[in-house]
Amino acid sequence: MLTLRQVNKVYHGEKVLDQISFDVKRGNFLYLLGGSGAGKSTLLRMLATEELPSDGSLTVFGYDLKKVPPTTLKAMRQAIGYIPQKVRLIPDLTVFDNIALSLTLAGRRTLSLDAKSKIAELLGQLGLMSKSETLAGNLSGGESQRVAVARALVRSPELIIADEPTGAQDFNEVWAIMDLLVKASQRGAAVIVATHDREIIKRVQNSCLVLKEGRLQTQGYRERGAY
Amino acid sequence: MKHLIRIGLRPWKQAFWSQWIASLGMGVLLFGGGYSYWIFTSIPPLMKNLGEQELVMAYLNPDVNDQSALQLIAKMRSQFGSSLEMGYVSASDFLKKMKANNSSLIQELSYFGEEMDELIPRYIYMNGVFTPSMKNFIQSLVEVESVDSTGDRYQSTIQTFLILERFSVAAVLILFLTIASILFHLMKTNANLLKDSISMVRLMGGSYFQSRIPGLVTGGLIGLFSGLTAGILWIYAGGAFYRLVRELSPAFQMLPGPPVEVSLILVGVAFFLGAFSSIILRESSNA
Ligand SMILES: Nc1ncnc2c1ncn2[C@@H]1O[C@H](COP(=O)(O)OP(=O)(O)OP(=O)(O)O)[C@@H](O)[C@H]1O
Ligand SMILES: [Mg+2]
Repeated sequence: MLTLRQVNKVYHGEKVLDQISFDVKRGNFLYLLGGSGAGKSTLLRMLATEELPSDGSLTVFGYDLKKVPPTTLKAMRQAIGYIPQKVRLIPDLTVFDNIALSLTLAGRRTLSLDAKSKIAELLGQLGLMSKSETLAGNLSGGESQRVAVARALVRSPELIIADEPTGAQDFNEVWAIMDLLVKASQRGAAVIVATHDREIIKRVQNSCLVLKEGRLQTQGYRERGAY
Repeated sequence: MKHLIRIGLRPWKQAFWSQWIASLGMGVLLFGGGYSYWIFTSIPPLMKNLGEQELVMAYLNPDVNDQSALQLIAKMRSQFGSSLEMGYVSASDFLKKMKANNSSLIQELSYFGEEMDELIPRYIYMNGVFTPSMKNFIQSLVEVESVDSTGDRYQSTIQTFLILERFSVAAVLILFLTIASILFHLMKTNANLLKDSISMVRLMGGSYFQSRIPGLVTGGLIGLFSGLTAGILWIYAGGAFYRLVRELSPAFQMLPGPPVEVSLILVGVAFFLGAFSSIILRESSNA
């Protein structure tokens, strides 16, 4: 589903990612660990097709990102659920409409009962039921982040890219979010989660990628926080 | 669709006065540019016409009396049609004209009494565009003693027009650049307000068109408001200014009025400019 070979990313002459290679397959659940400034968000932005590698090859759904035609890129993006670190909700739309827009842009019909009940279910699971008609611009940081999770998951994506999705959350919400992500991977989606939270890695054990100063340190199973 | 439109309305909600004042300013400038352009295109034919204008004076023989002078005018009217402005200046008319600036001369002249007609020039003046054959015809008339013509009496007006023409070309250019820079800066500001939302629209798999909608709404509204401002100014201020100009000099009498349809063209141009500027919005959301 994802293949990276010797991927580099350079910003203004400064190497932020250095020779990154790994694969992600259907149903994989992968943590991306690393200190602040290690390059986690940079890597995830590339996986979410927001940026291109400076060097090396990045293949998403079998397409080389540097050569993919616009219509294919659009279809690829429709199959990705991206939760950016800075969530970028649309402040003028209600919580419900933000999530519905995600469905529309993925080419789904949003007014069907099915869609509506799916949105309602997600809002319920994330403790956002009462916020459905609130403008996204008026939400707290933690609430915004959970809306971003719902926005990414509502489209049943094949690839989920979550950049510290639990960063601003209370204990209960952390597990609600993790629960949804794990279920998605059990359904067959590939899930990549960047996180700082050792507690999460301890309780929901999965493979880890550890980044340090732009290099991949370890690859494989880790029981404890790895940095 | 309606969600995407609502994204485009954000600059109007968040920074209402910037949008409004900039739109108003661009509207005024567009009106100024359009008006200058209109004058610029109206002047060349007007100058051509002015340059060809001649004042011809046919001095009459002393033995032609006032009565037959008037008959002569009627004769020339039927010959030349109504394109020429004509009139007869009799001896007493001439004196009246002179009275204002030269009263002592008049005093002396009045002693001549009946002989005045022989001393004081009486002439028929004709104003308009003359062909050589028309002049020949006038010369061949027995009643006419001599013909005098002045072709360059609008020279100074033409000079003024030439300067005005150059000025209006410069004005159009300057105003256009000013509009472009105001629009560019405004849309850059708006792009900052919207780029996160637009980049998410793109990253979630929105089509090219879908990602353009917010910008089209923002820019289109700016264009529409400035266009309406320009259009309304064209109709009201443009008409008033035109009447003012016409009263300045008889030479301006020939200036055609500002056509009302132009106000619609201004709205269209402004709307197009605004919508076109929305390209800045999409391009600044790098995704
Ligand atoms: N657009 C950019 N231009 C220049 N430098 C950048 C850019 N984006 C990231 N960087 C640099 O790349 C490095 C890695 O940043 P990145 O955001 O990927 O770190 P991170 O691992 O996500 O950190 P955090 O855990 O704090 O989110 C940082 O030193 C940052 O300054
Ligand atoms: Mg980060």
